[in-house]
Amino acid sequence: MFPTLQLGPAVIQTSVLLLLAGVWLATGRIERHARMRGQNGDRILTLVLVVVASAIVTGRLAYATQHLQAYLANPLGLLSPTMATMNLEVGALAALSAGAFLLRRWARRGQPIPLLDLLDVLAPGMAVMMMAFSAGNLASGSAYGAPARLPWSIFLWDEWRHPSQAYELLAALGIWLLIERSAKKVPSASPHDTAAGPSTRAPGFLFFTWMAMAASARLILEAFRGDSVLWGGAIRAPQVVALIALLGALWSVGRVARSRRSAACHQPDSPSDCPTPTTTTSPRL
Amino acid sequence: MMHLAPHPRRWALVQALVALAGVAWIALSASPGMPQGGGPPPSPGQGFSAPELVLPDSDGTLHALSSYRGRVVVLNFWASWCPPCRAEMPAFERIHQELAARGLTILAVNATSQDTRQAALRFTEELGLTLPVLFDDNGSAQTSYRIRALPTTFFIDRRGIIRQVVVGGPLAGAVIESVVNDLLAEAD
Repeated sequence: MFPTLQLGPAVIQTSVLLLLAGVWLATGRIERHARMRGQNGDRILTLVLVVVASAIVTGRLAYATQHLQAYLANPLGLLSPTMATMNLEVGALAALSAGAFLLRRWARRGQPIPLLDLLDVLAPGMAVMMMAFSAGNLASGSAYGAPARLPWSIFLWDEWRHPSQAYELLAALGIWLLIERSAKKVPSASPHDTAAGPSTRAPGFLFFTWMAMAASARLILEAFRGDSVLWGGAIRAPQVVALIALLGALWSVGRVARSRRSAACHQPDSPSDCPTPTTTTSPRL
Repeated sequence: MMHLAPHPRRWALVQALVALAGVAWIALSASPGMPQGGGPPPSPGQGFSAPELVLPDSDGTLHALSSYRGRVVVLNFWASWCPPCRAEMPAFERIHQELAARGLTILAVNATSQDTRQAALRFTEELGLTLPVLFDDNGSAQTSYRIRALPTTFFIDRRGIIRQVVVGGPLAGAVIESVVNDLLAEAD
């Protein structure tokens, strides 16, 4: 584990460096996939920037409001680079509101970005960020595993443990590779436009596939963590949330896939497994 | 599996199987929880019990971390030659004076094995520090807390569990105060 890098008098958290590298790589992937889908990459990156900045600024201001006297006496504390002094719930709400506001504004100006197309463009970036988070945890020793004596156990926090961070990094790498492979099947602009061929994916398919894979990884790998939040003293809360997210993602995958199939079946060269239209014949008199 | 997605009945079956398998896995991997009567094991990481340390102050009086159980403790490792350590010390002193009566103890552990007592004492006199300054002459506390960089600050709750670790500095007074206030507000 390499939690910090000492550069002269400055101490840099390795996990923060990896996270920044992740942001840089993720924005690159998002821009590339936006171009592949004929979307405006600059606008999507602007959206990402606004959402992230809203989360950080509002999360910090909300936290400072909770501790108003301390921050009034020392306003520079607002700039402190620590996640401990953030109100994450308020930050997430602000991020969603800012994103919705910007999308609505563009739609009113006649430059809409369909939500499902946007989510598809973001999916490869999210897969990259998953890798960055896992690598950061591996460097810092956070998100540590449950005690276990296995040939591949690591000695961490005074015990032999599952290398849960390595499991999660490998899972994230696998998910990213699958998403990149799947992303090559570029969807057409509309679910009703099937001219691009049968191999194309319906809008939203890529994102919900990523969500299903990410939720599956969390559901499975949380079992090897040593720091899970427990409900009722035994049930690992992230697993319950992951199962709900997984079922939601699968339901959405089915929905977008059916909408595409239904549109394809109405084309003259419809796929062979389409239901045959029912024909009525007049009884012969 | 995804090729089943366009077929409603088959896909519903897939979802039902995934739900069943998911619930079974959650039940199988349920954590036995903490052992009765025991907290997390001691280790210098967030969520673990703070490892015990017993160190002398400038008078030679020994201070054991365990003797502060029931109070919120901020453990700050520092050295007199370290500029961020020097920059954040006045904030620790101010907060110590303001919040000691509410149950806060700030222990400033000088990394004496990398510093000298004279330089450390000169600095504490310059600032007129009243908070307990402890001396880690042989580096044993730095070893058990795995100090890799200075300053490093541990925020420990009333039960002796490390709730936050901040490597590097200087920590802003508002940050220290807000984290400490949250811990002081928690019930014992």
